Amino acid sequence: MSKEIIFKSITELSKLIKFRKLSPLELTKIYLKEIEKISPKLNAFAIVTSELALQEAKIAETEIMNNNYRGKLHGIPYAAKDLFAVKGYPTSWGSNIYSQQIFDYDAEVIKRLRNNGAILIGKAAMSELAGGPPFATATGACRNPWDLSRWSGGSSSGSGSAVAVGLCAFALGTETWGSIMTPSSYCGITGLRPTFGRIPRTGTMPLSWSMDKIGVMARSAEDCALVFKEISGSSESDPFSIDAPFSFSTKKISEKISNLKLCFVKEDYEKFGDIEVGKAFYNAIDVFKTMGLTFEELQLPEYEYEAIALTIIVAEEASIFEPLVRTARIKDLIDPERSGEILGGQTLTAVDYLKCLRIKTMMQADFEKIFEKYDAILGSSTLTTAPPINAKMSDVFKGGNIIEAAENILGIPAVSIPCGFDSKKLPIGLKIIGNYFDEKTILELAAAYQSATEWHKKHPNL
Amino acid sequence: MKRRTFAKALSSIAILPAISPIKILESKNYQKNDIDELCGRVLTDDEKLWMKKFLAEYDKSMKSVRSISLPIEVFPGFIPKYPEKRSRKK
Repeated sequence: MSKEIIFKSITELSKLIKFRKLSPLELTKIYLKEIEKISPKLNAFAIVTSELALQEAKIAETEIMNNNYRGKLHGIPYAAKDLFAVKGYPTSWGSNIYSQQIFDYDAEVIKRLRNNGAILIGKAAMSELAGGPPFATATGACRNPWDLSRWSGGSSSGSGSAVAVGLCAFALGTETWGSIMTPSSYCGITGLRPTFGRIPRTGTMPLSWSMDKIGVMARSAEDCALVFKEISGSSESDPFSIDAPFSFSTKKISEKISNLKLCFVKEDYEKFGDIEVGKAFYNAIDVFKTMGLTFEELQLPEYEYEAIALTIIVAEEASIFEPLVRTARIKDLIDPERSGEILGGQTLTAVDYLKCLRIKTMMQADFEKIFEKYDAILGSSTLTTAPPINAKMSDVFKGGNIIEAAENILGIPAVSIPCGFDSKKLPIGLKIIGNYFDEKTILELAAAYQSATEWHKKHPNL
Repeated sequence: MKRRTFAKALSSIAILPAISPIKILESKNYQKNDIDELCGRVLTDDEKLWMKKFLAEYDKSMKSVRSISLPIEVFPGFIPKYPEKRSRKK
Protein backbone atom coordinates (compact mmCIF):
# COMPACT_ATOMS: atom_id res chain seq x y z
CA MET A 1 0.00 0.00 0.00
CA SER A 2 2.64 2.54 1.01
CA LYS A 3 4.67 1.99 -2.21
CA GLU A 4 1.54 2.77 -4.23
CA ILE A 5 1.04 6.00 -2.32
CA ILE A 6 4.58 7.36 -2.23
CA PHE A 7 4.98 7.57 -6.00
CA LYS A 8 1.61 9.13 -6.67
CA SER A 9 1.63 12.54 -8.35
CA ILE A 10 0.65 15.67 -6.45
CA THR A 11 -2.53 15.87 -8.52
CA GLU A 12 -3.47 12.32 -7.50
CA LEU A 13 -2.57 12.84 -3.84
CA SER A 14 -4.42 16.15 -3.67
CA LYS A 15 -7.62 14.53 -4.97
CA LEU A 16 -7.38 11.83 -2.31
CA ILE A 17 -6.77 14.45 0.35
CA LYS A 18 -9.47 16.83 -0.84
CA PHE A 19 -12.11 14.09 -0.86
CA ARG A 20 -10.87 12.77 2.52
CA LYS A 21 -9.80 9.39 1.20
CA LEU A 22 -6.30 10.02 2.50
CA SER A 23 -5.45 12.13 5.51
CA PRO A 24 -2.42 14.46 5.45
CA LEU A 25 -1.33 12.91 8.75
CA GLU A 26 -1.48 9.39 7.33
CA LEU A 27 0.43 10.49 4.22
CA THR A 28 3.09 12.28 6.28
CA LYS A 29 3.56 9.19 8.47
CA ILE A 30 3.98 7.01 5.36
CA TYR A 31 6.71 9.29 4.01
CA LEU A 32 8.40 9.56 7.43
CA LYS A 33 8.49 5.76 7.68
CA GLU A 34 10.05 5.53 4.21
CA ILE A 35 12.61 8.17 5.17
CA GLU A 36 13.52 6.25 8.31
CA LYS A 37 13.98 3.07 6.30
CA ILE A 38 15.67 4.37 3.17
CA SER A 39 17.30 7.75 3.79
CA PRO A 40 20.30 6.39 5.79
CA LYS A 41 21.30 4.34 2.73
CA LEU A 42 21.30 7.51 0.63
CA ASN A 43 22.32 10.39 2.93
CA ALA A 44 19.41 12.23 1.34
CA PHE A 45 18.49 14.40 4.30
CA ALA A 46 20.48 16.88 6.36
CA ILE A 47 17.68 16.91 8.89
CA VAL A 48 14.26 15.27 9.06
CA THR A 49 11.75 17.70 10.54
CA SER A 50 9.42 14.96 11.86
CA GLU A 51 7.99 16.99 14.72
CA LEU A 52 7.22 19.99 12.54
CA ALA A 53 5.83 17.77 9.77
CA LEU A 54 3.45 15.94 12.11
CA GLN A 55 2.36 19.23 13.62
CA GLU A 56 1.69 20.77 10.17
CA ALA A 57 -0.07 17.58 9.04
CA LYS A 58 -2.42 17.68 12.04
CA ILE A 59 -3.27 21.31 11.28
CA ALA A 60 -3.89 20.44 7.60
CA GLU A 61 -6.09 17.53 8.60
CA THR A 62 -8.19 19.66 10.96
CA GLU A 63 -8.58 22.38 8.32
CA ILE A 64 -9.67 19.93 5.65
CA MET A 65 -12.09 18.21 8.01
CA ASN A 66 -13.55 21.68 8.66
CA ASN A 67 -14.03 22.24 4.92
CA ASN A 68 -11.18 24.71 4.76
CA TYR A 69 -9.30 23.20 1.81
CA ARG A 70 -6.53 25.57 0.69
CA GLY A 71 -5.69 24.04 -2.69
CA LYS A 72 -3.69 21.31 -4.37
CA LEU A 73 -0.65 21.59 -2.10
CA HIS A 74 -2.68 21.31 1.09
CA GLY A 75 -1.40 18.36 3.10
CA ILE A 76 1.35 17.50 0.58
CA PRO A 77 4.74 16.65 2.19
CA TYR A 78 7.85 18.13 0.57
CA ALA A 79 11.59 18.48 1.21
CA ALA A 80 13.62 21.69 0.94
CA LYS A 81 17.31 21.85 0.12
CA ASP A 82 19.24 22.73 3.26
CA LEU A 83 19.95 26.26 2.08
CA PHE A 84 16.45 27.55 2.77
CA ALA A 85 16.00 29.16 6.17
CA VAL A 86 13.43 27.39 8.34
CA LYS A 87 12.72 29.15 11.59
CA GLY A 88 14.19 27.33 14.59
CA TYR A 89 15.89 24.54 12.59
CA PRO A 90 19.57 24.28 11.62
CA THR A 91 20.38 25.45 8.10
CA SER A 92 23.87 24.19 7.42
CA TRP A 93 24.25 25.05 3.71
CA GLY A 94 25.89 21.62 3.39
CA SER A 95 28.91 22.76 5.38
CA ASN A 96 30.37 21.91 8.78
CA ILE A 97 31.17 25.60 9.16
CA TYR A 98 27.47 26.49 9.37
CA SER A 99 26.22 23.39 11.20
CA GLN A 100 25.05 25.48 14.18
CA GLN A 101 23.38 28.17 12.07
CA ILE A 102 19.73 28.72 13.00
CA PHE A 103 17.58 31.46 11.48
CA ASP A 104 14.68 33.07 13.31
CA TYR A 105 12.63 33.44 10.14
CA ASP A 106 11.45 31.33 7.23
CA ALA A 107 12.66 31.73 3.66
CA GLU A 108 10.01 33.41 1.49
CA VAL A 109 9.46 30.21 -0.49
CA ILE A 110 8.94 28.19 2.71
CA LYS A 111 6.37 30.78 3.84
CA ARG A 112 4.53 30.51 0.54
CA LEU A 113 4.39 26.73 0.73
CA ARG A 114 3.22 26.89 4.34
CA ASN A 115 0.46 29.32 3.32
CA ASN A 116 -0.61 26.72 0.77
CA GLY A 117 -0.76 24.07 3.50
CA ALA A 118 2.23 22.05 2.24
CA ILE A 119 4.12 20.06 4.87
CA LEU A 120 7.88 20.39 5.31
CA ILE A 121 9.12 16.86 5.95
CA GLY A 122 12.84 17.55 5.97
CA LYS A 123 15.80 19.53 4.75
CA ALA A 124 17.49 17.78 1.87
CA ALA A 125 21.24 17.19 1.79
CA MET A 126 23.31 19.35 -0.52
CA SER A 127 26.85 19.93 -1.70
CA GLU A 128 28.86 22.23 0.52
CA LEU A 129 27.91 25.86 -0.18
CA ALA A 130 26.09 24.59 -3.29
CA GLY A 131 29.09 23.29 -5.20
CA GLY A 132 31.75 20.62 -5.43
CA PRO A 133 32.30 16.90 -5.86
CA PRO A 134 30.36 14.07 -4.08
CA PHE A 135 32.55 14.05 -0.96
CA ALA A 136 32.17 17.80 -0.42
CA THR A 137 29.20 17.78 1.91
CA ALA A 138 28.69 17.77 5.66
CA THR A 139 26.22 14.88 5.48
CA GLY A 140 28.28 12.31 3.56
CA ALA A 141 28.18 11.77 -0.20
CA CYS A 142 24.58 11.60 -1.36
CA ARG A 143 23.95 8.27 -3.09
CA ASN A 144 21.87 7.59 -6.14
CA PRO A 145 18.81 5.38 -5.46
CA TRP A 146 19.24 3.66 -8.85
CA ASP A 147 22.69 2.43 -7.83
CA LEU A 148 24.02 3.11 -4.33
CA SER A 149 27.61 3.08 -5.53
CA ARG A 150 26.88 6.17 -7.62
CA TRP A 151 26.31 9.86 -6.98
CA SER A 152 22.96 11.59 -7.08
CA GLY A 153 24.53 14.71 -8.58
CA GLY A 154 24.79 18.15 -7.07
CA SER A 155 24.28 20.49 -5.60
CA SER A 156 20.59 19.73 -4.98
CA SER A 157 21.70 16.17 -4.22
CA GLY A 158 19.22 15.13 -1.52
CA SER A 159 16.30 16.74 -3.35
CA GLY A 160 17.08 14.54 -6.36
CA SER A 161 17.47 11.30 -4.40
CA ALA A 162 14.47 11.89 -2.12
CA VAL A 163 12.06 12.63 -4.97
CA ALA A 164 13.30 9.70 -7.08
CA VAL A 165 12.82 7.10 -4.36
CA GLY A 166 9.54 8.52 -3.03
CA LEU A 167 10.55 10.10 0.26
CA CYS A 168 8.41 13.17 -0.45
CA ALA A 169 5.98 14.36 -3.12
CA PHE A 170 8.31 17.08 -4.39
CA ALA A 171 11.39 19.03 -3.33
CA LEU A 172 12.82 22.49 -3.63
CA GLY A 173 16.23 22.86 -5.21
CA THR A 174 18.37 25.71 -6.46
CA GLU A 175 20.62 26.15 -9.46
CA THR A 176 23.46 28.52 -10.15
CA TRP A 177 25.09 26.31 -12.77
CA GLY A 178 23.64 22.80 -13.18
CA SER A 179 22.47 22.14 -9.62
CA ILE A 180 18.88 21.21 -10.56
CA MET A 181 19.52 19.80 -14.03
CA THR A 182 22.31 17.42 -12.92
CA PRO A 183 20.58 15.65 -9.99
CA SER A 184 17.29 15.57 -11.93
CA SER A 185 19.06 13.85 -14.80
CA TYR A 186 21.08 11.43 -12.66
CA CYS A 187 18.09 10.50 -10.46
CA GLY A 188 15.51 10.18 -13.26
CA ILE A 189 13.12 12.90 -12.08
CA THR A 190 11.62 16.08 -13.52
CA GLY A 191 13.36 19.30 -12.52
CA LEU A 192 12.27 22.84 -13.36
CA ARG A 193 14.76 25.69 -13.25
CA PRO A 194 12.67 28.82 -13.84
CA THR A 195 13.66 32.19 -15.26
CA PHE A 196 15.98 34.16 -12.99
CA GLY A 197 13.93 36.15 -10.48
CA ARG A 198 10.62 34.35 -10.85
CA ILE A 199 10.85 32.84 -7.36
CA PRO A 200 12.06 35.21 -4.64
CA ARG A 201 15.23 34.15 -2.86
CA THR A 202 14.78 35.82 0.52
CA GLY A 203 16.12 33.51 3.22
CA THR A 204 18.07 31.42 0.71
CA MET A 205 21.86 31.00 0.80
CA PRO A 206 23.37 33.22 -1.89
CA LEU A 207 26.11 31.83 -4.07
CA SER A 208 25.77 34.24 -6.98
CA TRP A 209 23.32 37.14 -6.77
CA SER A 210 23.04 37.39 -10.53
CA MET A 211 22.76 33.66 -11.28
CA ASP A 212 21.00 31.82 -8.38
CA LYS A 213 17.55 30.44 -9.17
CA ILE A 214 15.10 28.46 -7.03
CA GLY A 215 13.37 25.54 -8.74
CA VAL A 216 11.08 22.57 -8.27
CA MET A 217 12.03 18.90 -8.44
CA ALA A 218 9.18 16.43 -8.79
CA ARG A 219 8.09 13.30 -10.64
CA SER A 220 6.32 14.96 -13.57
CA ALA A 221 6.15 18.23 -15.49
CA GLU A 222 2.57 18.67 -14.33
CA ASP A 223 3.66 18.50 -10.67
CA CYS A 224 6.49 20.99 -11.28
CA ALA A 225 4.00 23.39 -12.92
CA LEU A 226 1.61 23.05 -10.01
CA VAL A 227 4.22 23.91 -7.39
CA PHE A 228 5.82 26.62 -9.53
CA LYS A 229 2.46 28.39 -9.90
CA GLU A 230 2.15 28.65 -6.11
CA ILE A 231 5.66 29.81 -5.28
CA SER A 232 6.44 32.19 -8.14
CA GLY A 233 5.81 35.92 -8.10
CA SER A 234 7.69 38.90 -6.78
CA SER A 235 8.29 39.78 -3.16
CA GLU A 236 9.20 43.13 -1.68
CA SER A 237 11.90 41.36 0.27
CA ASP A 238 13.80 40.34 -2.89
CA PRO A 239 14.56 43.27 -5.21
CA PHE A 240 15.56 40.87 -7.97
CA SER A 241 12.19 39.10 -8.00
CA ILE A 242 9.86 39.62 -10.93
CA ASP A 243 6.14 39.24 -11.60
CA ALA A 244 5.11 37.55 -14.81
CA PRO A 245 2.03 35.57 -15.75
CA PHE A 246 2.04 31.77 -15.81
CA SER A 247 -0.57 29.30 -16.90
CA PHE A 248 -0.37 25.59 -17.55
CA SER A 249 -2.83 22.92 -18.51
CA THR A 250 -2.51 19.42 -19.92
CA LYS A 251 -5.79 19.76 -21.80
CA LYS A 252 -5.34 19.29 -25.57
CA ILE A 253 -1.61 19.33 -24.96
CA SER A 254 -0.59 17.70 -28.24
CA GLU A 255 -2.65 20.27 -30.15
CA LYS A 256 -1.04 23.14 -28.25
CA ILE A 257 2.51 22.09 -29.03
CA SER A 258 2.02 20.84 -32.59
CA ASN A 259 2.96 24.19 -34.19
CA LEU A 260 6.09 24.79 -32.19
CA LYS A 261 9.44 25.06 -33.89
CA LEU A 262 12.31 23.54 -32.00
CA CYS A 263 16.05 23.31 -32.34
CA PHE A 264 18.57 21.04 -30.71
CA VAL A 265 22.15 21.21 -29.51
CA LYS A 266 24.44 18.69 -31.15
CA GLU A 267 26.95 17.22 -28.72
CA ASP A 268 30.03 15.06 -29.15
CA TYR A 269 28.85 12.20 -26.91
CA GLU A 270 31.75 9.98 -27.85
CA LYS A 271 34.30 12.54 -26.73
CA PHE A 272 32.56 14.16 -23.76
CA GLY A 273 29.96 11.70 -22.55
CA ASP A 274 28.21 8.39 -23.18
CA ILE A 275 27.05 7.26 -26.61
CA GLU A 276 23.98 5.71 -24.94
CA VAL A 277 22.97 9.15 -23.66
CA GLY A 278 23.21 10.46 -27.22
CA LYS A 279 21.04 7.63 -28.55
CA ALA A 280 18.36 8.32 -25.94
CA PHE A 281 18.47 12.01 -26.85
CA TYR A 282 17.86 11.39 -30.55
CA ASN A 283 15.11 8.89 -29.68
CA ALA A 284 13.44 11.65 -27.66
CA ILE A 285 13.63 13.97 -30.66
CA ASP A 286 11.92 11.26 -32.71
CA VAL A 287 9.09 11.13 -30.15
CA PHE A 288 8.53 14.86 -30.64
CA LYS A 289 8.69 14.46 -34.42
CA THR A 290 5.82 11.96 -34.27
CA MET A 291 3.80 14.76 -32.64
CA GLY A 292 4.38 16.92 -35.71
CA LEU A 293 7.15 19.13 -34.37
CA THR A 294 10.00 20.23 -36.58
CA PHE A 295 13.65 20.52 -35.62
CA GLU A 296 16.78 22.27 -36.76
CA GLU A 297 20.27 22.10 -35.36
CA LEU A 298 21.19 25.13 -33.26
CA GLN A 299 24.37 26.97 -34.08
CA LEU A 300 25.31 28.25 -30.65
CA PRO A 301 26.74 31.80 -30.80
CA GLU A 302 30.44 31.73 -30.07
CA TYR A 303 31.37 32.86 -26.58
CA GLU A 304 33.62 31.62 -23.82
CA TYR A 305 30.51 30.63 -21.87
CA GLU A 306 32.24 28.63 -19.16
CA ALA A 307 34.94 31.19 -18.40
CA ILE A 308 32.27 33.91 -18.21
CA ALA A 309 30.01 31.87 -15.91
CA LEU A 310 32.99 31.01 -13.72
CA THR A 311 34.10 34.63 -13.42
CA ILE A 312 30.64 35.88 -12.43
CA ILE A 313 30.07 33.10 -9.89
CA VAL A 314 33.54 33.23 -8.37
CA ALA A 315 33.55 37.02 -8.07
CA GLU A 316 30.15 37.02 -6.38
CA GLU A 317 30.81 34.03 -4.09
CA ALA A 318 34.17 35.53 -3.12
CA SER A 319 32.30 38.60 -1.93
CA ILE A 320 29.58 36.56 -0.20
CA PHE A 321 32.02 34.28 1.62
CA GLU A 322 34.72 36.90 2.25
CA PRO A 323 34.15 36.55 6.05
CA LEU A 324 35.41 32.96 5.76
CA VAL A 325 38.71 34.27 4.39
CA ARG A 326 38.97 37.05 6.98
CA THR A 327 38.32 34.70 9.89
CA ALA A 328 40.44 31.84 8.48
CA ARG A 329 37.41 29.53 8.64
CA ILE A 330 37.99 28.81 4.96
CA LYS A 331 40.35 26.03 6.07
CA ASP A 332 37.29 24.19 7.43
CA LEU A 333 35.77 23.77 3.97
CA ILE A 334 35.82 20.11 2.95
CA ASP A 335 36.98 20.63 -0.64
CA PRO A 336 40.38 22.38 -0.92
CA GLU A 337 39.65 23.33 -4.53
CA ARG A 338 36.63 25.27 -3.32
CA SER A 339 38.77 27.06 -0.78
CA GLY A 340 41.14 28.01 -3.60
CA GLU A 341 38.20 29.32 -5.59
CA ILE A 342 37.02 31.59 -2.79
CA LEU A 343 40.56 32.74 -1.98
CA GLY A 344 41.40 33.29 -5.64
CA GLY A 345 38.08 35.06 -6.08
CA GLN A 346 39.25 37.79 -3.71
CA THR A 347 41.82 38.77 -6.32
CA LEU A 348 39.62 38.80 -9.43
CA THR A 349 39.46 42.24 -10.92
CA ALA A 350 36.33 44.35 -11.26
CA VAL A 351 37.34 44.87 -14.88
CA ASP A 352 37.13 41.14 -15.63
CA TYR A 353 33.83 40.80 -13.74
CA LEU A 354 32.23 43.73 -15.54
CA LYS A 355 33.55 42.59 -18.87
CA CYS A 356 31.76 39.27 -18.35
CA LEU A 357 28.54 41.09 -17.47
CA ARG A 358 28.90 43.21 -20.59
CA ILE A 359 29.41 40.10 -22.70
CA LYS A 360 26.21 38.80 -21.08
CA THR A 361 24.41 41.75 -22.72
CA MET A 362 25.75 40.64 -26.11
CA MET A 363 24.65 37.08 -25.37
CA GLN A 364 21.16 38.27 -24.44
CA ALA A 365 20.85 39.96 -27.83
CA ASP A 366 22.02 36.80 -29.61
CA PHE A 367 19.63 34.55 -27.71
CA GLU A 368 16.79 36.96 -28.39
CA LYS A 369 17.38 36.24 -32.09
CA ILE A 370 17.42 32.49 -31.42
CA PHE A 371 14.05 32.67 -29.65
CA GLU A 372 12.60 34.77 -32.47
CA LYS A 373 13.23 31.74 -34.64
CA TYR A 374 12.59 28.86 -32.22
CA ASP A 375 10.20 28.20 -29.35
CA ALA A 376 12.56 25.96 -27.40
CA ILE A 377 15.97 24.32 -27.51
CA LEU A 378 16.49 20.63 -26.74
CA GLY A 379 19.67 19.19 -25.32
CA SER A 380 20.91 16.48 -22.97
CA SER A 381 20.62 17.48 -19.31
CA THR A 382 23.94 15.77 -18.68
CA LEU A 383 26.16 13.99 -21.19
CA THR A 384 26.68 11.00 -18.90
CA THR A 385 24.58 9.03 -16.46
CA ALA A 386 25.34 9.09 -12.72
CA PRO A 387 29.08 8.65 -12.05
CA PRO A 388 30.60 6.45 -9.31
CA ILE A 389 30.63 8.12 -5.92
CA ASN A 390 34.45 8.33 -5.95
CA ALA A 391 34.81 9.53 -9.53
CA LYS A 392 37.03 12.53 -10.22
CA MET A 393 34.92 15.43 -11.39
CA SER A 394 37.41 16.17 -14.16
CA ASP A 395 36.66 12.69 -15.55
CA VAL A 396 32.89 13.24 -15.29
CA PHE A 397 32.62 16.75 -16.69
CA LYS A 398 35.06 16.41 -19.54
CA GLY A 399 33.54 19.12 -21.71
CA GLY A 400 30.51 19.61 -23.91
CA ASN A 401 27.08 20.83 -22.74
CA ILE A 402 28.44 24.37 -22.83
CA ILE A 403 24.92 25.64 -23.38
CA GLU A 404 24.35 24.96 -19.68
CA ALA A 405 26.72 27.82 -18.85
CA ALA A 406 24.84 30.06 -21.32
CA GLU A 407 21.44 29.18 -19.83
CA ASN A 408 22.63 30.05 -16.37
CA ILE A 409 24.48 33.26 -17.26
CA LEU A 410 21.35 34.46 -19.04
CA GLY A 411 18.88 33.10 -16.50
CA ILE A 412 16.58 31.47 -19.05
CA PRO A 413 14.36 28.59 -17.91
CA ALA A 414 14.81 24.86 -18.52
CA VAL A 415 13.20 21.61 -17.51
CA SER A 416 14.93 18.23 -17.25
CA ILE A 417 12.88 15.08 -17.82
CA PRO A 418 13.84 11.40 -17.92
CA CYS A 419 14.16 10.05 -21.48
CA GLY A 420 15.55 6.54 -21.08
CA PHE A 421 18.05 4.32 -19.30
CA ASP A 422 21.54 3.19 -20.19
CA SER A 423 22.74 -0.42 -20.15
CA LYS A 424 23.65 -0.01 -16.46
CA LYS A 425 19.97 0.78 -15.78
CA LEU A 426 20.75 4.38 -14.92
CA PRO A 427 18.38 7.19 -15.95
CA ILE A 428 19.15 9.61 -18.78
CA GLY A 429 17.93 13.22 -18.82
CA LEU A 430 16.52 15.37 -21.61
CA LYS A 431 16.61 19.15 -21.25
CA ILE A 432 14.11 21.60 -22.78
CA ILE A 433 15.28 25.22 -22.66
CA GLY A 434 12.95 28.16 -23.17
CA ASN A 435 12.92 31.91 -23.59
CA TYR A 436 12.75 34.24 -20.59
CA PHE A 437 9.42 33.83 -18.73
CA ASP A 438 8.26 31.08 -21.07
CA GLU A 439 8.02 28.27 -18.52
CA LYS A 440 4.62 27.48 -20.03
CA THR A 441 6.05 26.28 -23.36
CA ILE A 442 8.81 24.13 -21.91
CA LEU A 443 6.51 22.54 -19.31
CA GLU A 444 3.88 21.82 -21.95
CA LEU A 445 6.50 20.22 -24.17
CA ALA A 446 7.70 18.16 -21.20
CA ALA A 447 4.15 17.15 -20.31
CA ALA A 448 3.43 16.17 -23.92
CA TYR A 449 6.56 14.00 -23.94
CA GLN A 450 5.54 12.43 -20.63
CA SER A 451 2.05 11.69 -21.97
CA ALA A 452 3.67 9.77 -24.82
CA THR A 453 6.31 7.92 -22.77
CA GLU A 454 6.61 6.05 -19.49
CA TRP A 455 10.18 6.94 -18.42
CA HIS A 456 9.04 9.28 -15.64
CA LYS A 457 6.88 6.52 -14.17
CA LYS A 458 9.83 4.23 -13.49
CA HIS A 459 11.13 4.29 -9.93
CA PRO A 460 14.11 2.76 -8.13
CA ASN A 461 13.34 -0.07 -5.78
CA LEU A 462 15.16 0.15 -2.47
CA MET B 1 26.73 68.57 -4.56
CA LYS B 2 24.95 69.80 -7.70
CA ARG B 3 25.08 67.48 -10.66
CA ARG B 4 27.24 69.89 -12.72
CA THR B 5 29.69 70.47 -9.90
CA PHE B 6 29.90 66.73 -9.34
CA ALA B 7 30.58 66.10 -13.06
CA LYS B 8 33.29 68.76 -12.97
CA ALA B 9 34.86 67.24 -9.88
CA LEU B 10 34.70 63.81 -11.44
CA SER B 11 36.44 64.95 -14.63
CA SER B 12 39.17 66.66 -12.63
CA ILE B 13 39.77 63.41 -10.76
CA ALA B 14 39.94 61.58 -14.07
CA ILE B 15 42.55 64.01 -15.39
CA LEU B 16 44.53 64.48 -12.21
CA PRO B 17 44.13 61.44 -10.00
CA ALA B 18 44.64 62.10 -6.34
CA ILE B 19 46.81 59.01 -6.04
CA SER B 20 49.50 58.62 -8.65
CA PRO B 21 49.67 55.28 -10.49
CA ILE B 22 53.04 54.66 -8.88
CA LYS B 23 51.49 54.99 -5.44
CA ILE B 24 48.78 52.51 -6.45
CA LEU B 25 51.42 49.99 -7.45
CA GLU B 26 53.12 50.43 -4.10
CA SER B 27 49.87 49.96 -2.20
CA LYS B 28 49.40 46.73 -0.29
CA ASN B 29 46.04 46.33 -1.95
CA TYR B 30 47.52 45.99 -5.38
CA GLN B 31 47.28 42.34 -6.36
CA LYS B 32 50.60 40.79 -7.23
CA ASN B 33 51.11 37.23 -8.32
CA ASP B 34 52.20 36.00 -4.93
CA ILE B 35 49.73 37.11 -2.34
CA ASP B 36 50.66 36.64 1.28
CA GLU B 37 47.81 38.55 2.79
CA LEU B 38 44.10 38.65 2.05
CA CYS B 39 41.23 40.34 3.85
CA GLY B 40 43.58 41.44 6.61
CA ARG B 41 44.99 38.00 7.30
CA VAL B 42 48.30 36.31 6.47
CA LEU B 43 47.64 33.22 4.38
CA THR B 44 48.94 29.80 5.32
CA ASP B 45 51.14 27.85 2.91
CA ASP B 46 48.23 25.54 2.08
CA GLU B 47 45.99 28.45 1.28
CA LYS B 48 48.63 30.01 -0.96
CA LEU B 49 48.95 26.71 -2.81
CA TRP B 50 45.16 26.27 -3.30
CA MET B 51 44.86 29.79 -4.56
CA LYS B 52 47.84 29.56 -6.88
CA LYS B 53 46.37 26.41 -8.42
CA PHE B 54 42.98 28.01 -8.91
CA LEU B 55 44.37 31.22 -10.39
CA ALA B 56 46.60 29.34 -12.83
CA GLU B 57 43.56 27.47 -14.22
CA TYR B 58 41.42 30.57 -14.15
CA ASP B 59 43.88 32.71 -16.05
CA LYS B 60 44.09 30.04 -18.73
CA SER B 61 40.32 30.02 -19.21
CA MET B 62 40.03 33.81 -19.17
CA LYS B 63 42.71 34.42 -21.79
CA SER B 64 40.36 34.77 -24.72
CA VAL B 65 37.67 36.63 -22.76
CA ARG B 66 40.19 39.33 -21.92
CA SER B 67 41.16 39.72 -25.56
CA ILE B 68 37.61 40.59 -26.66
CA SER B 69 36.98 44.20 -27.63
CA LEU B 70 33.49 45.37 -26.78
CA PRO B 71 31.68 48.36 -28.28
CA ILE B 72 31.70 51.23 -25.79
CA GLU B 73 27.89 51.36 -25.64
CA VAL B 74 27.56 47.83 -24.25
CA PHE B 75 26.34 48.01 -20.66
CA PRO B 76 26.64 45.16 -18.18
CA GLY B 77 23.65 42.80 -18.39
CA PHE B 78 21.96 42.41 -15.07
CA ILE B 79 18.49 40.95 -14.67
CA PRO B 80 15.80 40.12 -17.21
CA LYS B 81 12.72 42.34 -17.35
CA TYR B 82 9.16 41.31 -18.03
CA PRO B 83 7.73 41.52 -20.63
CA GLU B 84 10.67 40.10 -22.53
CA LYS B 85 10.48 40.18 -26.32
CA ARG B 86 8.24 37.26 -27.20
CA SER B 87 9.55 34.16 -28.77
CA ARG B 88 8.54 33.09 -32.25
CA LYS B 89 5.01 34.01 -33.23
CA LYS B 90 2.87 30.92 -32.96
